[in-house]
Amino acid sequence: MTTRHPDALVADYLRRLAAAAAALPPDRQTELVAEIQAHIAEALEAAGAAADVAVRNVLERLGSPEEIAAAAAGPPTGPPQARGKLEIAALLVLALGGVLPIVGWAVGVVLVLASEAWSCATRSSACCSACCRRSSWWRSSSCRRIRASSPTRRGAASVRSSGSSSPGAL
Amino acid sequence: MRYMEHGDARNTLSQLRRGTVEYCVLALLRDEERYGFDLVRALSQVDGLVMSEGTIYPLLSRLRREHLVTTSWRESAAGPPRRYYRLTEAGRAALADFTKEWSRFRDAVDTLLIKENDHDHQAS
Repeated sequence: MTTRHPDALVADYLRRLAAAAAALPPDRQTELVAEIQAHIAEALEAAGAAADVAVRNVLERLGSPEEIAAAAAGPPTGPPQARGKLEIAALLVLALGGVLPIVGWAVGVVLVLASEAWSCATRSSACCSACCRRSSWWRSSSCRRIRASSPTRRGAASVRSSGSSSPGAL
Repeated sequence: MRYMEHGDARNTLSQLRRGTVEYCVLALLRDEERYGFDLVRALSQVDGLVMSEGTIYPLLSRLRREHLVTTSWRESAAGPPRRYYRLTEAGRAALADFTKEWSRFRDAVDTLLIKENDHDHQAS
């Protein structure tokens, strides 16, 4: 190991720390580097020495710059459940934030898929067939309600026939 | 069901250390305000508590952000001004809560560990 000037050791260490802490907000990064720098100065003062060995000991006890920066980054705060709900809400807003016909289809798909009265095959065929038609949302989601009242509607026919395959659909 | 490996005890204890060190910092501030280096030195004198001294500074920063401690700068005879840490009311309350919970937890674990230990001694 080549001997390096103690100041160079400290400067190198602080440079590594600043680099490792680059992801932090700038004021926290600056503060962290300043605090570690002050610590090194105090520690050397307390040791009564500033030579190579003393500096190496102080830096050794401090730990690696990467470790310190990682501690500053810290674990994510907040309960996992709260974050999960937020993500779900965001996805829903994204899904519904589109143009209305697409939204209508999307909502219809969700409702169809959520319905346990239809088998998987009928559900997917309902979604696909509804997709090809206009005002499909109204038909696919309301088909069970309007089935009896609107037997002549073209779109409702395909959904109705699939809906009728399951008992107790009403 | 996964079986415990030798490393698990070390891992558990290192997690315990990480979880409790902030309350140890609060405890050190119970009776007086102290500056950063002083706190770090006091912690490192307790065996096996702190592995990397530098990580105490991010911890202090977090305690400040969480309003468990406040700081003030004081002139120092030896060199540049020092940042002194002091408990807030919230910090004091958090420390009191933890102390109560910790005593219960520590006593419970000790009871089981010591009992098991005695059992082993009698059996052998």
